[in-house]
Amino acid sequence: MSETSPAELLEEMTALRRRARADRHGFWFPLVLFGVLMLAAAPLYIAHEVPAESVAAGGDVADSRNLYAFQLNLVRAGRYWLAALIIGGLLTVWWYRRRGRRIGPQSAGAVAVVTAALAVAAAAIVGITGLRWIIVWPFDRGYSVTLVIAVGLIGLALVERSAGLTVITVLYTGAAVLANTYNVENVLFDLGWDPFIAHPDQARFTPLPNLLLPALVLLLAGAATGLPTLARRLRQR
Amino acid sequence: MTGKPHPTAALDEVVHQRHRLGILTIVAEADRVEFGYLRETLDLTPGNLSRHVTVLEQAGLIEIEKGYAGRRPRTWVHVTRAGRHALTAELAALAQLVADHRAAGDNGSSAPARPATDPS
Repeated sequence: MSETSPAELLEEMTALRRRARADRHGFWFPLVLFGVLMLAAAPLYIAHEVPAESVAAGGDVADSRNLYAFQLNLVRAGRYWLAALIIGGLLTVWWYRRRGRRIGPQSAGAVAVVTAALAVAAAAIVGITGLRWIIVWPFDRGYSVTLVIAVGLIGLALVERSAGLTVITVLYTGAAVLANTYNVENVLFDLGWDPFIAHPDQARFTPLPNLLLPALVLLLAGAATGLPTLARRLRQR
Repeated sequence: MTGKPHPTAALDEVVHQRHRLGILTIVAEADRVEFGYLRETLDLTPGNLSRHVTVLEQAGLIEIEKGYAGRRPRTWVHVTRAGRHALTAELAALAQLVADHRAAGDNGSSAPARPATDPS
């Protein structure tokens, strides 16, 4: 019969809790998934044409005409996001359930609630406003979906109880808020990218950075957290 | 002797056993935990784990759920509200014991601490 001191027992339980929590974490998958879904939407955020007067005006977004000058098909983007968010949510639930069955600790119930909330928010924002998207939300240029994903990520961080995911969520939310307010292209402009004067041939790509920055955060975070997990799993086989 | 009771009085015989405390600690981390995961993580034989799981179930601290993952039969364990409270109380009592022991050490005396037993 061996004896364990209270301090040793507490340490052992702390290690067990950490291990169970690490095994339960599976957030790299939804990070990569939604990053890929954002990348797949990139063609919808490249303007078909930028009117010459827009280029001549230096792409002044204060001019309301320029909100439409990029000729983005926001209705099509809205439909894409409605489908992508629901499919992404369902795949996330599938992932957590499969992971729970194969590895052990399962929290699919809580993840399902978060995902359902995400889908409902997506339906409310993207679906209901639908065809009247631009009129109902005149200052939205199609990036509000990044905020919907931020809400889902915050919910996931609460369920996962992970410091790492909390940091990722803060970074991602910051990028999403930037994309929806000051806009990433203005930051790039401050850094020297001037698609309206110096590179008019690049003007039609102007909306793209607002999608790519949040997507990049998700993909890098997903790779950084997922690759070590995959490597560990392969070593165990 | 008067004053508050010794922290060992707060220890629960059912929960205090090392492996049972381990089971509760793990199952409290998720909605439910598969039997095989517990066996592997705690390095127990199926029979030994079953024995501890039965004790915890009879005390109303965990619940057992049997089902299938595909065609394979699986057993799931999930913690009850009473189990969660018992775990919190046990860990608090242990932390108090450690704190008292350290304080007694600082004062140059020793405090009795009940060790956890490992019958396996």
